[in-house]
Amino acid sequence: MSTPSTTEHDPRASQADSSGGSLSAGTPRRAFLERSGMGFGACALQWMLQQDTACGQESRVAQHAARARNVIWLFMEGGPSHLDLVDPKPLLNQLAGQPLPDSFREPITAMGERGAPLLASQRTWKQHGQSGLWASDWIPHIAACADDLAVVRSCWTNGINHAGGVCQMNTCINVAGRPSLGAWVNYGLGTANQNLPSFVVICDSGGRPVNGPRNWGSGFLPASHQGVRIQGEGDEPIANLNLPEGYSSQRQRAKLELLRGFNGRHAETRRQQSQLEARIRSYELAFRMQSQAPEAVDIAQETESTRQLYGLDRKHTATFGRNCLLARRLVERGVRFIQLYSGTGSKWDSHAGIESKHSRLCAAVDRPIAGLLTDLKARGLLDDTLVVWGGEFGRTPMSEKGDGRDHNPTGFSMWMAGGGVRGGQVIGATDELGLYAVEDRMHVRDIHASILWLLGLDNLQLTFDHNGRPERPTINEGAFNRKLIGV
Amino acid sequence: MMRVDDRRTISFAGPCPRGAGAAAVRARRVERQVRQGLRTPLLLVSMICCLPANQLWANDEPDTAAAARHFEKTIRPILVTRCLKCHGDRKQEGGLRLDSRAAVLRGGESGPAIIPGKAAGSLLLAAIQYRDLEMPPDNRLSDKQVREFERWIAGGAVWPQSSDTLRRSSSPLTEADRSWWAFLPLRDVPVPGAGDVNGRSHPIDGFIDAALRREGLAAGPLADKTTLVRRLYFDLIGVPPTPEETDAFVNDASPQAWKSLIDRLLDDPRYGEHWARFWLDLVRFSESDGWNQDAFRPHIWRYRDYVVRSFNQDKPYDEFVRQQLAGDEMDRSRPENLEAAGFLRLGVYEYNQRDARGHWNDIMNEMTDVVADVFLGMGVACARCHDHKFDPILQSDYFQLRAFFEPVVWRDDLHAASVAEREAHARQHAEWLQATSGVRAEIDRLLEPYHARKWKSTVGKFPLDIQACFHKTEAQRTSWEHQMAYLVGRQFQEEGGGPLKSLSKQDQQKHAELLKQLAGFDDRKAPPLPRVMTVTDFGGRIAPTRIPQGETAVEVEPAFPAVLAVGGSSSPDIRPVDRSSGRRTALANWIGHSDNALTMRVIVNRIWQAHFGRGLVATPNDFGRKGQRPTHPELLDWLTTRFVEGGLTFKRLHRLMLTSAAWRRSVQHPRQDAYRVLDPGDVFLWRSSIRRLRAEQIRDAMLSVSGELSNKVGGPSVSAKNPRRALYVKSFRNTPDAMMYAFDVAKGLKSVAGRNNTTTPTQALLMINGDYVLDRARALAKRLESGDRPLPDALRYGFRLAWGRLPDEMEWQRSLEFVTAGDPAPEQLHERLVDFCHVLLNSNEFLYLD
Repeated sequence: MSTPSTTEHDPRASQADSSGGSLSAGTPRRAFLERSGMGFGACALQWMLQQDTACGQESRVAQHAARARNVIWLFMEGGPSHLDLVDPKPLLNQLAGQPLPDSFREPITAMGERGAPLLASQRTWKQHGQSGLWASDWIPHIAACADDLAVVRSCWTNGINHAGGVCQMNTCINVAGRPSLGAWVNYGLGTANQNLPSFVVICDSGGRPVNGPRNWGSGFLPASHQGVRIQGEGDEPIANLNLPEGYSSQRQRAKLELLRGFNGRHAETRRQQSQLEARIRSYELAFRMQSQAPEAVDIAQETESTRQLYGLDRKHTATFGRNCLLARRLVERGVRFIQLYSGTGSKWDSHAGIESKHSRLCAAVDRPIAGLLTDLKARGLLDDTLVVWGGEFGRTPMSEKGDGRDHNPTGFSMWMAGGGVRGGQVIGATDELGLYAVEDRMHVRDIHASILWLLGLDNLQLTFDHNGRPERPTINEGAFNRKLIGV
Repeated sequence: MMRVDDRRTISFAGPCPRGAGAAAVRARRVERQVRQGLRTPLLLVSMICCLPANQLWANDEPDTAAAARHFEKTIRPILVTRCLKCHGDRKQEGGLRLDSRAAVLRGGESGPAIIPGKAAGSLLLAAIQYRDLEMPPDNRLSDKQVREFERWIAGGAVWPQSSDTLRRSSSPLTEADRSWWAFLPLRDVPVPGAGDVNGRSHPIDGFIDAALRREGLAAGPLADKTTLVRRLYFDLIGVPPTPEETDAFVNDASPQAWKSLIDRLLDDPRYGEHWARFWLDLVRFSESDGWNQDAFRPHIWRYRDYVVRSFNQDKPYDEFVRQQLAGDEMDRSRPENLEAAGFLRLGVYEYNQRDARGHWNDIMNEMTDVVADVFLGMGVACARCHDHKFDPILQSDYFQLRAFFEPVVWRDDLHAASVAEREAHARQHAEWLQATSGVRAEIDRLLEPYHARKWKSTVGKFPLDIQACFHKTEAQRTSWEHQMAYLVGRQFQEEGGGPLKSLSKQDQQKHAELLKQLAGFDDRKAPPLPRVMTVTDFGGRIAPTRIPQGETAVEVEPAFPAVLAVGGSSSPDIRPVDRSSGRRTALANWIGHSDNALTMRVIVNRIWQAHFGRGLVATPNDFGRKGQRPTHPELLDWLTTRFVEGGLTFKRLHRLMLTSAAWRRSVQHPRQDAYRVLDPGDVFLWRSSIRRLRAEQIRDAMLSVSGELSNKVGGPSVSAKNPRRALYVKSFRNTPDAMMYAFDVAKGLKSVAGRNNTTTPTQALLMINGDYVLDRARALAKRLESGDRPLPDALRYGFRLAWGRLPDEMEWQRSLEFVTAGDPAPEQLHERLVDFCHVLLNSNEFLYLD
């Protein structure tokens, strides 16, 4: 990974490092900082990283002992079929071809195909690991990690279409406007690194997930908490990271020096205005990001066996494998919340031809995800990295268009691993056909509350005052499901 | 007293799936019990009936207060949550109502429910003890609750008059609620002392200086004229002054210079363009649908232009409110009234949503939330699910407010045109219709089967009850059913590219040919009337507005929040207008009425906030208990009183505020180090706060400085590449412009009363590496080079354009060195100049206002 002028060998980078982050030592600004007393620069940094002083609100630190430091959320966009992956339903195959029995309440389905017959799952199911967790033949590699997985089979949500579902899985409600979970975590815990964004999103194609960047937006929280999309491939991992075309690093440096001169002078005559200092610092952080981000995403440094572990050596697993590997590298560099989209743009959606669509996508993610879990574990990172897998909803036991399945928001599966979660267990259950969650139901709010809890945050204590409401990440509801930690 | 905030018990009215069978079983059980009830012998009806009703009210007795408290705290919540579902204003199982004392005494088919003072003989007690009737049927009351009822009946069944008819909520309003500062009538307070500035006193400074003295602070000096002119331009018209304009003001020594500059800028059409933005933020204006498709709304710019025009015309606030909430009930021949009612179309929407019921419910709720945020300055969204925890807003208030909007239907078929325009159009159109009737009939024949098929497939995807709404005629529908039918209809138009998408190849050709024939008549076609995205009321039966609660719902009528009821009445004076209910006009009249102290304070505070960066109430969308108290309550009331006196116009307020010394203060204060400790937020205005430009101002200022800014006013929006003001750039909710987003532009999803102000490394990357800013720098460099300016003059001009001042010695030397170091070749010199300009546009002095 290289950029036109900023590489890790760039002499500016080492100069920056040796002078503690600023572009060069002995500047008027530095002198100004020294005159204005210790810690003022740190204050400004704090102002910039937290930003909440702008709204007169302090974000909080962890409210109880955290089990997880980081989250890697594997988002299967479009809605993977729980019925064909981790929630086997023998009755479904017995009743295949018949309509949904009368004893089941008829749901509102997204595509509204009424009276469609039940569709058998064509999978072969096996139990795996010491725990005997069930998994289908679509995910053999993930199945090998069974003892690390806590499969929640009783998820439910309100959004019945992709826009609502993806919005809700990210922001807890199916109507646009609230902050994403990653933004709440950013607000709640602050950043753990100074050179990279704290909340990063990587998609498996150049496309746009349903709803676009709003999925990782900050809603009413300050914009500094929003996610930053990183390009897994290409030569500019973060927008505007590279110098303008044709610019030498020398030319850029000259500009930055002139800018620093102007800004230093400006701040000097306007004392006690910490946002000016924060903005001066933002250019220094940007500069550091320019040197650090390319390194963070440079997987050339990884060994051949690691690359194989993630499936980088195979065409169909290389893209998602690369993103999983990037996720691990970002975790190592203090990025707190990482979301990887698989099937970006609703590709998991399988209203027709579920066999071919799911086969291809399962094959694309199975080895990379297993590789990620294995690698995190081997490096001792799984203990404090929570891995979350799931889509915005599951799929119906009823068929659609003969060989597909419609959206199922009323019962579906997700799984979690690492981050203090007790693996090798199943939580909750759907009914006998996998249509409705019936036992130990976990709404998206409960899922978010659980993720927050594992990070040390209480979903009802974390608040932000907005338009007269003390807003909470899970909208006043949602509870941590203690079964996740085996209690 | 408000209830204690127990966060863990807040309930959320989410869907509660439940076996369909359970309800039926319960219904059968209720039926059986009712029948059993009928068999119960009649009770002592006569004994009760012969007493005059007044005697039963125990209000005059000494322990009334305690008894009333007992009722409010214990009895009423049980009645509300456990009984009214079947024995309230909606349903009266067994003919029994339990929502007022009279009704309880009247009883039902089995006789009176209670005999005051005689618990043992009361039917109600027997029923809740499961002795006879088993009530409530689904789950019996706890023994303790039963004992409370026993106590209540034995104590005379005290039912305070204030709760004459029960709300389905459990927290009564108290005097403390009603006397909350924001709800009290305006006080016309005298101006304290004399704030003697420049030998003249200004009433605002009288208030400000008094507060400063109280806090042990002293006002700092005024800013210099160069700073002030720049500040004023950004504040009133959103762009910086040209160097010539700066000079003109700085050199104008007349005592009227400041005032006349204010007047000139208030008359500048750019004033409306700049100030519209503050309103558009509040009403969450955006030009796309949101949700997934995020479709562009091609006509909603008319609402934006309406707002711009309203500010420029200095429209009184009451009219501004009325047009937006109920423009369609005003004179429809004034196009602007329909444009303004586009306010009720600004929320998010998606055609692709089979859950039409839930979708419309969300839309109505959101509309209610925004109306309260914008006009009442009170978040009411909490009360959607429960009585507000902090403010005296009841759940019933929420739905009574929502009820004003119940009959609203979205209209895409109306035009913003005068009567004369409409008539002229109709005449010409009739001719065209006649001339083209043959071709159009052919087209209709060709498309008919496609339409039929599409209708069938589109409608068939909705739940059966929604389909039923669609199949009714308009005359048969209620407003809600019509709304459902509208949503289905939009799906028809838009799903899968609309009905024409499935045309066979042959028919496509035929269709194209017919369209060609039709186009042959285009010279006789009337130019289309301007379409407008607006609303009207449904002309037919209005569906009831219901408070959802479990499986039952209580119907409510439109009413103002009880706590704001002036003179004890929260019932609006609703008068139907033509085929319109008149509900929204009543709401608008109430909001815009100068007696409404809350709404008047809210808007005045917003104007203050826009000028000073911080409201006198720092939480402009929350005048409730979670919000902050005003820092200068007397000043807020004094200003609001002036606003009311002045006919609710804004320009007068602007003049008042901008001529104060408080507004003109320098950002420097000789004792700022000490004062920062005493007043860290500059709340008392001893100095001005430095302010970063807003996203639009940044973009507009760059274009202005580079000489590219277009001065075209109004019209359809353009792409971000166009050098028009940011106000006119198409805004999409899902994909906001990267630069605007980085600088905290309002996203159009929630009412934004004050923007965040964030500083991030990604923002710096965008400014220093991104194309947009660099392109502006290139244009600025060209501007500096034009007219054969010698290099030093070019540099000086650059400073004056970007910063509004000449550089000091250090800045000058550094710049000169930067551009000329190493004696560059002409081409290189140009690039250096570009870089110099780029640095200017990145500089804090460009982005922050003193």
